[in-house]
Amino acid sequence: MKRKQTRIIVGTAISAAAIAVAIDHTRQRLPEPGKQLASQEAVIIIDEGEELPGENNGDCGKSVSHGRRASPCSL
Amino acid sequence: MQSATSSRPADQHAVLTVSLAVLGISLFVQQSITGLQYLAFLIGVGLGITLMHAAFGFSGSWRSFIRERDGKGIRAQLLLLGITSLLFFPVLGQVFPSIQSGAALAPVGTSVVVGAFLFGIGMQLGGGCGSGTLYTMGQGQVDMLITLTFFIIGATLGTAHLHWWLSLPGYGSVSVIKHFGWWQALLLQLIMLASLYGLVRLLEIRRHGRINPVEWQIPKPEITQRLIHGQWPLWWGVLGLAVLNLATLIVAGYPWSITYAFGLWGAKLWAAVGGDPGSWVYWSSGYPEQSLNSSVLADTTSVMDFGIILGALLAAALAGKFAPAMKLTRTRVLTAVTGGLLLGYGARLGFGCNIGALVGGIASGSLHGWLWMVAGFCGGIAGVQLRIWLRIDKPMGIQQ
Repeated sequence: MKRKQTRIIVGTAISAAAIAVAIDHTRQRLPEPGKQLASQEAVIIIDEGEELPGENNGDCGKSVSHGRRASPCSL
Repeated sequence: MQSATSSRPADQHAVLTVSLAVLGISLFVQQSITGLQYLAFLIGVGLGITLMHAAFGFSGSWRSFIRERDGKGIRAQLLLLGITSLLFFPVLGQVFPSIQSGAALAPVGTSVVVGAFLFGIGMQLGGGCGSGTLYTMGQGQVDMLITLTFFIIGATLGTAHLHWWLSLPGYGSVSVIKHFGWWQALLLQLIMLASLYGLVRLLEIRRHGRINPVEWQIPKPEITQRLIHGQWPLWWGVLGLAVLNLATLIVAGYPWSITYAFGLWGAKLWAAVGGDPGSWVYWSSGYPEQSLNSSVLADTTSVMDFGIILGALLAAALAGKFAPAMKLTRTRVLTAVTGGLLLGYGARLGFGCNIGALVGGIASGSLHGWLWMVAGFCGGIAGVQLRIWLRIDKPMGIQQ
């Protein structure tokens, strides 16, 4: 595969991805500032020995300590 | 990992285009997304540049060690783990109460063992790890585009099955920081990493009679040239990745991770063609549900991944290495597809890849990171044997 062909393929893929991101961004609502920060800050804080979200029932969003939502599923 | 100085001229057209794209995306994210998301994007760009300029990879260096006992890459990774731990443990041990950050804790169980093992095989077949796939794709390697596509498909399949894997035996999460206290845990961790470093060094000396050093210095007149156009000494890569991972911990609130975004992109694409991933257990609650129903630009991991691809593209263009000519054989396509699927599925089951689980997990004091390292390396050995069986590589002991 020549360099020019490679550039065209990679350029097309990146452009297609950019269009997909733009479509997704315009279709989805943006999260409320407070909610977004809380969930992302506390994604993976879990006390030792505490039942993990999803450990037994596959629930990735079960509430855990400190009133935060924690989830190793977001790793 | 390469060591030669870049001698090709910079691809000015690509440098200009990518620089404008980085500027435009930063401004757009700053305007439309709340919080510090644009900073996460810029950290991603920095990570992409560092990975590309230092040619910092995991797959090739694991293979070099397994096949030829060349431990340079693995020793660099152990240095990265040690320095990142030094930076992370005080922060996670609440030495600085004003910094509110969380560790990359995940359960120690069957899913991590199976996931990391599959990921280790996938690394050798796919030709890259979590970070390697992104930066080599950013460099414009078409085969890695195939690997990334199937990485995304594998990660999405992993989200469909994770709840079943989590029902298998496991212990739960273990934080050595909470168990021992931050400085005692750090001391223990550094002793373990130093022991591993010594073991790798010993095995290398036993085979070759000397060690292949991790480069640090370069001639003074070359510093500016090498800083902008590469090639960086491996030590620069180690320090750059450790510092940028700390920046991620402070800005995003958790360590650098990559592969959560792949599952998210796959689920969003599945929804776009009429699927209903929202009905799957994984995407039906918590942060996964929230991110599935929000803009992809609101997900920090996704934004950082975009930054890594663009940063690598920028670095490749500066080094004159963007979009290299290559021969795409049928075997390479097959291994890219299979490797990508294993990488994605394994990363989901293992609670992250070589970055999120191995580096992030260990540097956070999570026991699952160590388990991931052992199982992932065993998978790497199996992957190296598979490459020989598929006649990609010659049998052990025969020079490539």
